[in-house]
Amino acid sequence: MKKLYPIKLCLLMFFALCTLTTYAQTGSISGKIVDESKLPIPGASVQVDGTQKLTVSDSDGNFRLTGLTSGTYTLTAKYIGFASLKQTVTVGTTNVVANFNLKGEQTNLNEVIVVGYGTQTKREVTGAISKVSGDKLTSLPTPSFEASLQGQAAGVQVTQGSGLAGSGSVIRIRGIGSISAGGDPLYVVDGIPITADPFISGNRGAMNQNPLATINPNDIESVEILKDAGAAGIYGSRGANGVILITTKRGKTGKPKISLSTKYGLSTYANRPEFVTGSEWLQLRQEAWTNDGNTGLAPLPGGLTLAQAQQNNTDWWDILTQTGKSNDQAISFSQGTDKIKTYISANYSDNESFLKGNSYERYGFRTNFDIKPTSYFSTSINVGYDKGTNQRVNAAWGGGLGEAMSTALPIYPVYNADGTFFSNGANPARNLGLLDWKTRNSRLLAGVVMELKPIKNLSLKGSFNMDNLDVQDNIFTPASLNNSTIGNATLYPTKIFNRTFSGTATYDWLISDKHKVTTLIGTESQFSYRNSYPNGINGPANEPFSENKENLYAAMQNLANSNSLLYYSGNGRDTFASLFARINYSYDNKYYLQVLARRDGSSKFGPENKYGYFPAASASWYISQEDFLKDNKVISNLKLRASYGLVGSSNFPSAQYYQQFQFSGSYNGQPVLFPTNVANPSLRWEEGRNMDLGLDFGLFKDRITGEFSYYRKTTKGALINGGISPSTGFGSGYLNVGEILNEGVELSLNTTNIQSKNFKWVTRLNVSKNYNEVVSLDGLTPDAVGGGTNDTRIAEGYPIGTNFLVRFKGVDPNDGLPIWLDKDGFETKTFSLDNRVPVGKILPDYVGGLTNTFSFKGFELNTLFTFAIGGNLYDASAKRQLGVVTDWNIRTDIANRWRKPGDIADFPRLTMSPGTYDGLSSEWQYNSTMFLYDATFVRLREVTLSYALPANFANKLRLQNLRLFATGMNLLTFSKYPGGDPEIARDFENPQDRNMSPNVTYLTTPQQKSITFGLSTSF
Amino acid sequence: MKINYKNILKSFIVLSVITVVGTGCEKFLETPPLESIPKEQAIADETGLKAVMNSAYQIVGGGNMFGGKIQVINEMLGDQINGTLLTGDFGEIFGRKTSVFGDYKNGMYTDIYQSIFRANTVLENLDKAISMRDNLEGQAKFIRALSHFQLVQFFAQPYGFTSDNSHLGIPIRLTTSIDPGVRAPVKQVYDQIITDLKIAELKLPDENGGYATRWAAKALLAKVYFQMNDFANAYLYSNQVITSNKFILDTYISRFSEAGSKESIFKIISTLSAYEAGGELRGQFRSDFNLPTFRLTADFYASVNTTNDTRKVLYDNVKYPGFIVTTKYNKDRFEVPVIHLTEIKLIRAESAAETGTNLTVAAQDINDILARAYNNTRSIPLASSASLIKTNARFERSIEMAGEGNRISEIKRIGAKGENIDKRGAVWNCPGLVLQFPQGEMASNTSFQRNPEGGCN
Repeated sequence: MKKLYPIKLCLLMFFALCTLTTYAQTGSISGKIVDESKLPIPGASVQVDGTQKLTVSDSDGNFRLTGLTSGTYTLTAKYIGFASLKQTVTVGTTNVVANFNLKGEQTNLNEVIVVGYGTQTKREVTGAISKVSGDKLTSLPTPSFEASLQGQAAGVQVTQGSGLAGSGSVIRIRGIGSISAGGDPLYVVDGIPITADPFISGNRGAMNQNPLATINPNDIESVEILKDAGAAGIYGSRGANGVILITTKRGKTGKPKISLSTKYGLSTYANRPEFVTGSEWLQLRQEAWTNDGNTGLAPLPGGLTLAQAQQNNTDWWDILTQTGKSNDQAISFSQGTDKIKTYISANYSDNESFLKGNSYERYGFRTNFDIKPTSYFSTSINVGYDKGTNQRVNAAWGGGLGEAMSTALPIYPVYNADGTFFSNGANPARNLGLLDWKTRNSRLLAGVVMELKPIKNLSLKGSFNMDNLDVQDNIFTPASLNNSTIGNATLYPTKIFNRTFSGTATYDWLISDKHKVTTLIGTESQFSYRNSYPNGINGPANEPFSENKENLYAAMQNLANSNSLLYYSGNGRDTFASLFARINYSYDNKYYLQVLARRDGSSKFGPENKYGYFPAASASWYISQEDFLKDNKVISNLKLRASYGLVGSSNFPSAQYYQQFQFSGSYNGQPVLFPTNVANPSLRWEEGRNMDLGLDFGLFKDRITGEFSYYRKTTKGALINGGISPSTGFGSGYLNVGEILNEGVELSLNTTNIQSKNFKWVTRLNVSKNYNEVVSLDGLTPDAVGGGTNDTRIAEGYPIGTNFLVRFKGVDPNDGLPIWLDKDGFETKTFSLDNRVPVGKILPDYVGGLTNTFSFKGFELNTLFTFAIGGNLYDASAKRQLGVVTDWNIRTDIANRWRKPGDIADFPRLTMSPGTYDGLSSEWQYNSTMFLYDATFVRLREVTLSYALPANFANKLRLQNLRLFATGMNLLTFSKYPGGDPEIARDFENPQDRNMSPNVTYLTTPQQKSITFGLSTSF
Repeated sequence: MKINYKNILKSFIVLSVITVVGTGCEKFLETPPLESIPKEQAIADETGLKAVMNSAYQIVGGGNMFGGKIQVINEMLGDQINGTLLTGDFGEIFGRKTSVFGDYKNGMYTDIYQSIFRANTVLENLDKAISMRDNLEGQAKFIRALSHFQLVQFFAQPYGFTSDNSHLGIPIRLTTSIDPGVRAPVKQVYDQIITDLKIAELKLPDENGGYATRWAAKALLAKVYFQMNDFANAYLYSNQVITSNKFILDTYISRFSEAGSKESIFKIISTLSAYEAGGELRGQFRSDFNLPTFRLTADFYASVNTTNDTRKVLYDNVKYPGFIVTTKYNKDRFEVPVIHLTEIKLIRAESAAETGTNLTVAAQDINDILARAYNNTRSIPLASSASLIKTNARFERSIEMAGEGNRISEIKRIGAKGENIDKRGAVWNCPGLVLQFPQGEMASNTSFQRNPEGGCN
């Protein structure tokens, strides 16, 4: 048991150190540290000023300092989240009692904020950073931690994917500045830039496997979101989309403490579209048939006669869904002395979604050690391991619930008369219990940081990190599903290795009491690659490859014999090397200036642009420290900050700058080497020019605090993967041609509305407005980028993800045919794709969150509403569900359709032939504003009621605390969209699709609505 | 526990050096992904060039070309499929009114051009070849011609639409340069196809281990000339192929079989697990498990449902009451013949009839086909008239090649001679019988002229 060894070692050292304490014939100080409600604060530090004497309060809040010679001492008691307090005591030869009553601080300017390659106090920060504490991330049973950021930070738009277990979210920080390159922020865990690519397994089964689901939210101490050039600039060519810094929990000074948390939950879908029943469907089809001038009975899909069809009214949605169950267990151990601090955690969770057969089961461990053997050397060793099994189901266009919303008709039976599965039409029930699809993810995140302080104020740090991600996609279709005499097994094994080395030197130069300069210089190199079988391993088998290795070897042998087994050690390899420096200057706690620069070289950049340079400057001014505001009764804190700098984004694949060839499979048993791309030797990063102005304020002794920011980000050279003539044989190629503007304002406001002895009401609001515009495309037309599953376009003068559609005016009451607007706005009854114009946008105007927390004694009620206001939602499935009558399900909204002359209706006369609507060539081309909706929604994202047992009662149970809670997620949704869940991040084909098509739904699985019960305790 | 500070210091220094070296080293940033081989390495020698040539076949035999899509789209444009229940892209193609969108069709377009890009890559690097130089040149030109031929038939009005064939054809791609597409006149496209094939005919060997041979080039020339209604040349080349005696008529069941057919002149090879050809054909037509998407018309079934016609077994109107399906593709794996002897014999017979020469040879060709089809119960006199031969050739062709994507070529070819044979009642040159170009062409070149749109009836 490799894992246990360090724990043992640590415990041994801990006990050894405990026994070193000696008692001499001198005086002592003891006391108790409590908070405003007189509850003890364990783990608070008490230091004798001017000495190294320090102790920590125990689980009852008691502390004791001994070995003090007679005299007068000043003690400082500190605890995170509380204002530190000083007290002077005179010590003789006996014990003196000094109790501390610490007061909670809402804006603690001394709060530690994690910034790139270091930490700063909140006071020193000159950039735009939002901090979200770890407890906010564990309160909701989201499929992955990043979804819990929704509504927590201004300027951060989180669109949760779907209710599929393990699915990801789309996160945009201050808008979107990329078109074809990835627009996701950089994720850094404890200094390790981690693999977060949602396209490792492409879009298999209509789901993007989310590597962030392997990060255990229970281990997260805090998340810092770096938003402007002043903060994210230190990440150079990777900072333009913002940076999300995740800091895991560490051992805290104090007695060993064990924390436990347990949660159980039930879930169902949040919203769903409603479809007509079997008999209604048959009537609608007959109506369409008759409208088209036919007589007799309409022919039916699935090879059914009317009599057969009438016997069925299958509720496919019901067959495929269930009440989901989740459970989440976490235990952690923390202890700390001056020399060694330890944090060890283990967790297990199993989330069965509301889709039958869909679950994500995971367990993980983390051990974080901080060892400080001498005053000049310290080291931290962090190891996190997580292993998860995602039991997959097909979704959206891949089948499953997607079929229940499309081609699995209520007139289809599940079984034929002879008991076999019906197979002449969609039958998603066939897969239940037969399709065996497991994606196994495991991740090892490990890092060693060594810090050396050879002289005073100089710190040398080296860190060496690894991030190993192993994704095994194991699909087995048995013979009966495969329409074959033997089943088929496929395995896609992918291992992603990511190594980072960084070295920094920091020097604090205290020029005088008032002047302080901190200089950081550093270097970082990163190396990542994959070991993978790009085409997978596939072969006939009667059980999954994971169950029978012999079948796997046989399949590999067979592929190898025909030169078709493709394996790479070094697939997608890229290297990255940087130098960076940052200088912080402060004067008199009033003026702060930061200048930074980074040089990044990447193997992805073409030879003409191998290195990028990214300078940024930022400054802040504490106006409230100036004499004229110093004693102001209203304004307790006022800080003005500004930043400007260059940042980059280089989220695009390797090896695009040269004409590359790849091996892929075989033909005629011989190897195949094929050209993959259009070369672009000048390929480079996208350059963001970011400006930020901000005002942080605190009023009425910080009863009201907040931040207001204005930003303007211009992306130059945005990558476009398109604009290539398809008769070259290529659909696309990377070109640095776009210019994009994001401009916006953010406001976050925290108010303590009521604060009395027993009752407290705190409100936190954040809201941001973003304006996005594609300023230039270098002359490319709106269709130059698009295709794939995109139903949106980009056009000069319009935002990214513009709905480019034919305008639907209404239904002609006389004949029931649709009336369109042509390009110039004139009415026409001929549908033409040439009449498509920009009519909507998928980006909302405002996003935000409103949190209200009410506490009464031990009870706490917390509610979080999240909202998105403005923007459009395009329902790409509605054109099949509400359009021409085909072999698709029909939504109940169709009730409002034209039936006879004079009818005023929303939907035109039914037809089975697209040509009835003059000019329409197929149902797929029916892209019009008929299916464009207002995307505004407000959601009761979270409501939590918790009760913390009184401390003395908990203590009787030998516990430090005990908290019971119940949480509801997505219990209410307010929206004008009738087709299901208004919050949409569908399955995506590639980063471009991900940038352009959130809020475009295509049979997307709705989010979950859930109730969770749990308790947490520590002892 | 004793900590050796010297070791810590040492390792700190060593690791710091690694970091600095890693950062400073220029070479470190020149580590391309292992799978992405730069051109000069990929095509360093003949082996590399052969592998690139092979990649062109991978496309030609893939799902977007002869793995099925070419046949499927052709069948939808033709008049033997009962497509009344087809929807989406299929409904659009069957309805003969394609638009600038439609992934099914557009995917085929780009992939056919990709096969040309790969062939051109081979042609631009022939200096790397040694012993295979002629062979590779022949293969590349064969593939380039085959692909241009498919494109011009799909995306332009047929040869004969204008008297001088100056009407717009398709972009001709003879190099790998990435330029906007410009449509060449149809005459120029056909001239280029013939030029390529005539070189291929000379450079390719008799046998080529599964790849294109001299006979494949000649057979394709026969098809191209036949499509141009140039019957003298069609006869010339089909006759050369037949008299080589390298190919013999085989059973119907063997035409789409794993073991292959003796009549295949150019075929897509299927390799277990590694490259299973014909997936798209199976996906759309296979009928032994469930009702397939593609069903045939009652009219067509009546033509084959006659006494003694052994081809009846290839169709089934019982398993799914009210639907006629083919059983041609009811196998897990099979090779896909692209040009086979049956077709070449029918070309020779009809060409002879059209030119009025070698009628005995033609009548014998017809009898060979009839003997197999009707189990030796039917034949025509060896001294049959040209018109009897032609009638038989056309009728038998409509059955022999049903479901193989041939019918629409006949509707257009015979139409260009002035005779409308479409059983769906459309005029041979109505706009909808020509597929629309993908929007990408217009998006990358605003002056690209797309096809007129509109239904056919």
